[in-house]
Amino acid sequence: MTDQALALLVLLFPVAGAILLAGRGWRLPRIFTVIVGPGVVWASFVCVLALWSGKAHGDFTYWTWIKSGSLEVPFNLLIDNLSIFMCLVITGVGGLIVTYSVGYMEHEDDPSYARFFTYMDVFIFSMLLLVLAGNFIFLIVGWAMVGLSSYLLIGFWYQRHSAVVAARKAFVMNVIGDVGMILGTFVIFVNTQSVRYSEVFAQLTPSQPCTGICHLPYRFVFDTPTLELAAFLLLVGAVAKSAQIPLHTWLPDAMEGPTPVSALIHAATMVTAGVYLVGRMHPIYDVAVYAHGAVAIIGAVTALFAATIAIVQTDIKRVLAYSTMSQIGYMFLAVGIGAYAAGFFHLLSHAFFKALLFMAAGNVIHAMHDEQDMRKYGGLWGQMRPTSISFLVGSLSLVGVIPLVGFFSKEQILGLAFSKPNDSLALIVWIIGAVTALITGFYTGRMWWMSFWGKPSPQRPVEHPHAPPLVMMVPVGILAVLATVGGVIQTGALGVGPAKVNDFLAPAVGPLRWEGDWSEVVIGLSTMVLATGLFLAAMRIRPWSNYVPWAQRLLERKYYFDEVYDAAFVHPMDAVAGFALRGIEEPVIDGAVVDTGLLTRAGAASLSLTQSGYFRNYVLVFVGGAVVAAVILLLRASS
Amino acid sequence: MPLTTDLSYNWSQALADLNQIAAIATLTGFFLLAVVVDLVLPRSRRGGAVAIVAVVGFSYSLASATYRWRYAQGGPAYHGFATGDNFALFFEVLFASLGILTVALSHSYLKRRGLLESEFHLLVMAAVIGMMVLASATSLVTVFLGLETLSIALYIMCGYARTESRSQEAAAKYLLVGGFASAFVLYGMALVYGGSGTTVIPEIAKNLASSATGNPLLLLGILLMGVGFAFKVSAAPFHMWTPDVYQGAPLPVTAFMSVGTKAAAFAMIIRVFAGGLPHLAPEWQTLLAFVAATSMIAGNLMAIVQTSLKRLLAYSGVAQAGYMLIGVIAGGQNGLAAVLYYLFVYMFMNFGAFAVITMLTDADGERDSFGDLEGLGRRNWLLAGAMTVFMLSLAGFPPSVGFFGKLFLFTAGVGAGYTWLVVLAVLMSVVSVFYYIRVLIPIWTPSPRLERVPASLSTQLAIGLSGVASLGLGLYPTTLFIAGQLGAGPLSP
Amino acid sequence: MFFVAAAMAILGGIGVISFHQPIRSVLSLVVVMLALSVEFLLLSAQFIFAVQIIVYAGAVMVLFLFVIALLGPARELGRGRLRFQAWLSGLFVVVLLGLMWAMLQGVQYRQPDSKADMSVFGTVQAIGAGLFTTYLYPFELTSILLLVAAIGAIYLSRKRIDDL
Repeated sequence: MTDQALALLVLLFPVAGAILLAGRGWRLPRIFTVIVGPGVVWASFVCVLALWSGKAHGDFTYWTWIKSGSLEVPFNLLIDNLSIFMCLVITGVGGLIVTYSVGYMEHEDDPSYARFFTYMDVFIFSMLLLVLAGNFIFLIVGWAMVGLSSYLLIGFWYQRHSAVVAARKAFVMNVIGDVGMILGTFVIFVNTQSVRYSEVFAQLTPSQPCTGICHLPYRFVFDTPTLELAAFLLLVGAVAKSAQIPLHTWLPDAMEGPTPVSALIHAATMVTAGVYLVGRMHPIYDVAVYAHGAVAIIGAVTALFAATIAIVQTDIKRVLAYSTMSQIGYMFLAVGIGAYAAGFFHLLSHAFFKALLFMAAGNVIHAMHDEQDMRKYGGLWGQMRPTSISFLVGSLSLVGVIPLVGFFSKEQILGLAFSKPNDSLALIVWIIGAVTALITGFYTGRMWWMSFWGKPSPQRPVEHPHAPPLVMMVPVGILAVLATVGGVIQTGALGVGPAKVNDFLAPAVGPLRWEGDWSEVVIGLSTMVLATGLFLAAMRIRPWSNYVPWAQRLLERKYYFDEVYDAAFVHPMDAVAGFALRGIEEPVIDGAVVDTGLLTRAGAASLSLTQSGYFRNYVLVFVGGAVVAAVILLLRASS
Repeated sequence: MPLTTDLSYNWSQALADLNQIAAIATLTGFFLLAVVVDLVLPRSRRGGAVAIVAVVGFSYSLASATYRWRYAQGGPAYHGFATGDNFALFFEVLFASLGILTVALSHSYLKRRGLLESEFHLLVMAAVIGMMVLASATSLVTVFLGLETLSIALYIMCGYARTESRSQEAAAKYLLVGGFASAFVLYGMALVYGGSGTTVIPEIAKNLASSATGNPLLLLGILLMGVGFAFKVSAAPFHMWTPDVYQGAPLPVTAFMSVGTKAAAFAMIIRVFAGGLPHLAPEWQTLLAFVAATSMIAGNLMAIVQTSLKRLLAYSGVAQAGYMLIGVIAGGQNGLAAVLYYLFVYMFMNFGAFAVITMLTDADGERDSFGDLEGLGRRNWLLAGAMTVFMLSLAGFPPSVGFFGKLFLFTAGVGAGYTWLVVLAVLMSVVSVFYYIRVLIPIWTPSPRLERVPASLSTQLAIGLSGVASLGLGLYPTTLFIAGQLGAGPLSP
Repeated sequence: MFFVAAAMAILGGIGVISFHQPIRSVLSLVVVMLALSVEFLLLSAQFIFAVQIIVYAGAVMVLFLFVIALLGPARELGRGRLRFQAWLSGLFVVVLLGLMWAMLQGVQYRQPDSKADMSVFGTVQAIGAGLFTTYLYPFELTSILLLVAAIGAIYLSRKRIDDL
């Protein structure tokens, strides 16, 4: 089979699955859903593997939608090492998570069960479309569909009010990002007259290879401020999707969704879309230095900020959510300083260990009858041994303990930030990143000790938790193994050994532009040792914020972001909408006919109290509009 | 060519001119035939017979317009009162198709509601004649006559459910506000005539070529006509009638007028402003930009809080008028082609959406709350699937037609330098996703309601056709866009 | 003379909408029609002048009066509860008129076409010839317009569905 057909198949399997499940799934026996739901994701995974092993690359155009003048919109898929890398993560880790859901969602009734897998398949498809798209239009389509399917999945339990509210919040935040994406694309399109990646980037790359040292190896087709504008607008999209400051408030609330959803969307795939975007657009960000710097700053600040909040959270999924924000912050930091491959390696390792953490936490929540408060756990080490061990592996990987995968990915990012020559920004973000690494050790330790160690909490809902079914334990086990040994493919953080991810991604995102040295290894190791120490210490000590009431409150209220947004946006909008409803709609609906004399005369008295607007109102607004129009016209004419 | 009495005008010339308006002439012929059929047949057979005559009439009209589009040379007719150019033909094709769809939709609806069928189809034909006259009019006189034919037919159609107070009320309101707006238009036309000395649109442009700017008569004329036109396309702040009338009128009428009136009014705006007053473009562009911005904001924000589907679609229509005005403002071949493209596809998506709601009607009356859509996915998959397509199209999701429509409009807008308007439009169309998706949620959420939603064959055909067109024209948008460019040809310099 | 008639027409128009008894409204409408016919005469459109008086001021108005007489001259009920809006709309109208006035400063009105032959302008012959040659198309359109209105009137005025 040709690469072209294979690439299309990768997309088509999840679509077919979703259609099958949506149309007929709820009427057939459950086993049908069990096979089709995860099956199509694995089928896609096989196709991606085939592409990978076949060293496929190319820009395949299947269809030219519009070709009229300068406007050309093709449907093309871009297969290069970056998109294959992302597809491997999405279908591989995604496949494990969807398989895990077979067990996790078993208590749902048949229609809901089928609905869940429909949404999951739609999500996988959207995510694949996002990374495979070969032009901006389909990028936006995938982008919007990812937002839509996450909205559906977060609000899966639509009977719960909190889930619906959380879903809406996620949707709104994502939509803000979508606006940024659309406007950014517009800026790019207007200036380059193309929406195809290859054509847009071709206008940015040098016409002849530059020799010697090239700080700005690009030819400017449109002036830099415009490019910065486009880059910043795209960044808005990335920030919203990846839950970075200031568009991050949706992610913790999104934990209202089922746990596999959290694992899939809010750890492994969707939230990394922003990182992918920056990596994919690297020719733009390499030129737009201010936007590029902003990426690093946003990442670093979010990393620190989210880690501090995670210290005081008591809901196990919320700790994981803030830790996700924090780790995505690392990825932003990495791509922001130009260490693209390091960022993507962290994306991969994070997908392993965070999906592992979420799914292990899912086992616990499942066993605890949906109780998510860590203070009510305790003492699980003896009763849920495999899950506890998996969670420990994930935690240590998150902290960055040798030789788990998290160490290699995180220390590589920090090392590269530390060693980037002549860049004070990189040094600043390194400091923030290193501090965050220590805090990470602490909150992760707190979470683990609180949940699994010690004596069972008296409030624990279940005395003797049951062991998770095999279908849930196997994916957890696989991820635990991957999180343990995954690091061998890239031991760059120790300065020796292979850097397979770097080599693999180099054709797509360019080789690393600077070399690390021994000092970063020392620093990386010492950071790790300190973080591990804090992890252990968390068993005994309480966070310092417990002794400082205002800090505690600040953290518990999550720096008052929600409150500020409510006051700044939600309440005014409510007020406006409420006014519109009361002031404009209700008189129209409930008011009485006074002026339609024609009807009164016709004796249609029954009318008067039904829905009806004042005719006078209409004419009033009409004439008012005419006045405004006249003023505008006069101003225009006299200018 | 000043309009003096031309005594040499003879029969053969009149016949030759008739060719230019073949679509209108054919339809008028069938209209008269339908009146006769309505009179002679017994009551039980009337409805179906008139429906058949109407469909045949629309089909002939469609065929003749298509034929002339491909093979004939369009040109002015009747001393510059009408024309058979591509612009007119494009709209004639649109209106004839709309007529067929409307007859197909209303057939079962009228039966279900126990309303008389034959007169309804007669009125649809009359309204379509008015629309076609409007599209082919090249004189302010015929523009106004077309507008009134269309409006009077619609006033009556709004009140067609005579036993229902809502419907009566909608008719009365529409009549009163419509009359008000017509007065504005007419006064504006009079002033433009006063300022240019002719009512023939191309002549106006010619007369004003040298001395256009600074004539206050024309300025005032533009203001008054612009206000009246904005009313007809239901653009804010002249949109207040839209939700009430859309909600009160019988559903097929709403479906018909939401598309037809809008398209006809856009034809009128383009013909008069772009065709007759190109030298005053900055002035009317400013006016329309104001109207477009207000429409997009008011329409989208108000749509969010609606609980009735009809009102929601009404406000969505206000917003869509705003998007389309961007194309008119941008002008030029691409801008106008974008408007034409959008109008054509708007027919399928908006008509289709209303058609789906029409099918929810049961013996108790119309059903247009969100709750009535519950479980539609299982109650009738064709309707549910079609509704999904229409909503996504209206929201502008690729690869639907709505996406390309907006893409064309916005590119034209940016190309013409109205970036602020386009930014606003993008923002607002993202807001609109919210309420369009909101319609889809009850459709696909499981619900205990499982009773089937019945749909007659003709309706299923109409909805299916609209759905297929919404997707198909999304997959092959180029053909229609090129048609739009050809249609815009006569009016873009 | 022109302005006198115009003022009469406007006053009549205000009368139509402000009287509370239908019969007075109709009589005001007659004033409007008569004033308009005078305007036509002043513009040397004799035929239209005659038609205006005979058809509108005569036939149509008489018909109106008959209908009202048959239905009984009921007073229209209902006073506005919308004081605020009345104020606002008054303000809008004044502002709009003011703006129009401002716009119309310095208009140069067109002079009549010198080519027009004033000896036949506005005569029955000229109008008749015009209707069937130059103005054939609008003339026919008007007939369709009236037909549509007639159909609609018949439909709406029918008492029950079985009628006709």
